[in-house]
Amino acid sequence: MLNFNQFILLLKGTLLTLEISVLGMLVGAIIGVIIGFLRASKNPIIKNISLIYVEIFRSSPLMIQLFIIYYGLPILFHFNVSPFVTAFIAMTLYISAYMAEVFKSSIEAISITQWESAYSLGLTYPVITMQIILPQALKIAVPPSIGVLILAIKDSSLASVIGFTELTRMSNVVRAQTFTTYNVYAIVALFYFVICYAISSIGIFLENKIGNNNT
Amino acid sequence: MEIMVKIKNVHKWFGKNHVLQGVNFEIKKEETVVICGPSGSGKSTFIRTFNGLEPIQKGEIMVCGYNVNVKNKKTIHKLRGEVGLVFQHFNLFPHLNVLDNITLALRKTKHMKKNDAEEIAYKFLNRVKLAEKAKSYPSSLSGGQRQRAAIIRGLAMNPKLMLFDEPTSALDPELIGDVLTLMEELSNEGMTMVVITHELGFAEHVADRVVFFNEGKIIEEGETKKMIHNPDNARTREFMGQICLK
Repeated sequence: MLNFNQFILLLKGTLLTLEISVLGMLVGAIIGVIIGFLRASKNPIIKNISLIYVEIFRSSPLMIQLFIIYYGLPILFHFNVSPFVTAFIAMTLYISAYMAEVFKSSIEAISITQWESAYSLGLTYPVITMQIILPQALKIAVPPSIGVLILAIKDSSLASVIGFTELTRMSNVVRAQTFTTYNVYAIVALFYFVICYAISSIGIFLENKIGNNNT
Repeated sequence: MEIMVKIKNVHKWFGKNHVLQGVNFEIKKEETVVICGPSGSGKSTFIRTFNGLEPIQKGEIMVCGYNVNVKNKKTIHKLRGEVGLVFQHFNLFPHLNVLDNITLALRKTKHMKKNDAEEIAYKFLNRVKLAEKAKSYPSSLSGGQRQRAAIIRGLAMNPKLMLFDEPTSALDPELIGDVLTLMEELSNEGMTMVVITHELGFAEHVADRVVFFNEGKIIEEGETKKMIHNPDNARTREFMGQICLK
């Protein structure tokens, strides 16, 4: 079994997994809101350009995106990036594409009559967006966003391939020390499960809370 | 009397569907006009052109001295601050309490301070006996309360013209009375109003004129009593007869 030091190593990996996922989720969600509003736009040019953005980052494997950033940036711009920065950029872009679609459908789920009554009161597009549409869209977006966050935590394991020592990478380090493959991976799987289960529970709690508030 | 709305030869198409087919209309200050007609006749689309909510393809619309068909956003926002529109389904903002529903446009469109906006809001809330609901969300209000809240949301803007798009059609019969009473008071106070409704009792009581809409056109308009009881046009007579039977 694992000794204390190895256990600490796995906890450190867990912390990095959480860090990269939550950071990627925060920045990715902010970009996602903006792209989501562009996706919901009536202007066909804006709509299609934002769709291209989404398709680029959603339709190629995260691992390939990680490689492109990690090996591509130094070649193209003579600019070295650490595994952490690489993982952060890739996760953020990847998550932003998924969140853009989440926000797009949340925005479109809000009845057109909300826009109409807001416009009829003389409110401007920025005010309507920030005060009327966004608050309602955010509520609708909570359950699918929880899904994206869980996906992000599991997919962050791919960052191990560029040497970012998150939980999966750390489990390889520990495995090399203990020579017991099976035990370590089972424990790591349990770690992932506990994190994702906790997030999912928080999600259900939030969903109920929002649901009770108003409809 | 000052002319509040002057509409000349307005045409609108939804794709191939010719929904407004050359409509002419005028309303003077302090007048109350009721528009009725079968569903799908374009009457709802028609009053939504008054504040630019529905763009038109041909014709001229002057409302409160603004040329609505000019694509100038500033003009349109200004105009909308002076024209209240009340919808069939209230369209309150569900994530804001009643007070914030009323004060949002006062603060953002009229650039009022929060305290001033709330003072105005409470004045109107008291008037329609909803002051104790100020901090409630729309979902906890009855249909009649929601519609009264929606009406005073418009009134708080101190509009020169109020438009009502079937304001009582979504309400239970026993909740209609309060809303109609409020509208009658407004009319008596001299508010200029255009009301789409099939409440002929209300029309007979309140309207100066009735306009009958059919297939994208005004086919008859005139003095209220005559329009309801003895219209000239056969289609109008048929429609009024059916409504009266209900």
